[in-house]
Amino acid sequence: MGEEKENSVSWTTLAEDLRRLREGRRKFTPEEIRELNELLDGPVEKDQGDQDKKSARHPQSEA
Amino acid sequence: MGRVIPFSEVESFVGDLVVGGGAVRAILDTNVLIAASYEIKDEHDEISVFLEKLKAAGITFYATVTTKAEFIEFHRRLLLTEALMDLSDEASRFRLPRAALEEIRKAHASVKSKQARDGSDPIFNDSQIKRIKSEFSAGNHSGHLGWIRLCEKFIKGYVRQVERQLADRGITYLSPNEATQADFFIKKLEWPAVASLVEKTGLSVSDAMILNMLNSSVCQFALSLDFDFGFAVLADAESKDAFMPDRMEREYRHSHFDSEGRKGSRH
Repeated sequence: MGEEKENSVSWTTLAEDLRRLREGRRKFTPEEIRELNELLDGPVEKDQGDQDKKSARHPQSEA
Repeated sequence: MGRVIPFSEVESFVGDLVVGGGAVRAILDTNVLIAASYEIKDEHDEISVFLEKLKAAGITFYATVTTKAEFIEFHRRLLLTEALMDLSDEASRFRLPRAALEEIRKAHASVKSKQARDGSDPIFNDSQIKRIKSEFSAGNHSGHLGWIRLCEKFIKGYVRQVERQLADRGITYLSPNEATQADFFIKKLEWPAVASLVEKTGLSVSDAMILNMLNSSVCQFALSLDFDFGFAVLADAESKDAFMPDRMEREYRHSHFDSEGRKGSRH
C-alpha cells in the first residue's frame, strides 16, 4: 500500500513549535530595523527586542 | 449507521481493530488539527494527549486536501493577526499608513469584543485582513512600508514550514490523484456522494468532503470536534465511525438518533 510517513514528533509540542515559528518571523534583527528605517526615512530607534510582542495566544494580558 | 464513539472508549475500539490485523488508519478533521496546534482552544490539551495515545497504539493519521487548506488558512490568519498587531504597536518606528493603522486597531477591538462575547478566537477574519491590506500600497511608497515587503518579512516560506510540522507528525494527505495511494481507496471519490451528505443533514461542503473521503478510503474512523460532523455520521446508514470527546458524544442523546448508533459502544 502507498507510502506512510514517519510519526516521530510529539503532538503535544505542535502548538509550541508553531508559536516559536511565528515569534521568530515577527522578530526584527538590528539589520532589519536599520534597513526598514532607511527605507521609511524615519528615525532609527533602539531595538526593544520582542518583550512587547502581541500574541493572539494571550489576549487577556493586553487589557 | 455510523457511530460516534467517545474518547474514553478508544482502548476497546482500537484493541478490536488491532486484533483484526492490518494497519489502523484515522482521518483527522480540521478542527482536531487546529485544536492541537493552538493552545487557546478549550480542547487543546485533551486532543494533543489523545493523538499521542493513538500514535502510541500504532495508528497512522491522514488528512485531506480540504483539511490541509483549512488548517493553513487558520495559521495564515493567526500569523498575520499577531504580526499586524505588533506593527501597530510599533507604528512610530515603522510609519504605517494611518488608515491601515486605524483598520488594524479597529479589527483588534472587534475581535477582542467578539471574544469577550462568545469566546471566539482573537484572530482577524479574512475580511478584516483584506480591509487592512487595502490600506497599504503594494510596494514601499512615500516612506511607508508596502504590503509585499511586509509579507516578505512575515510570511514568505511560512506555508511550507507549517506543512512540515504536520509531516513531522506523520500526517499523510489522501488524494485519488496520487498513484502510490491507489490501494487506499475502496471506492471512487464521487461528487454525488458529497452532495448527498450535504443534502441529508445540511452538512457543510468541506465537512462532507472529509466524510466522503473517510467512507471511500481504507481509513477505519475519523476524529472530529465538530457536532455537525458527528451528526452526519449518525445520520448516514453507510458511514464509518467518528471519535469525539465524551462530552460532545453525550450531546447526541438529545438528538433522537437510534441509540445503537449514538452510543458508539460495540458491546
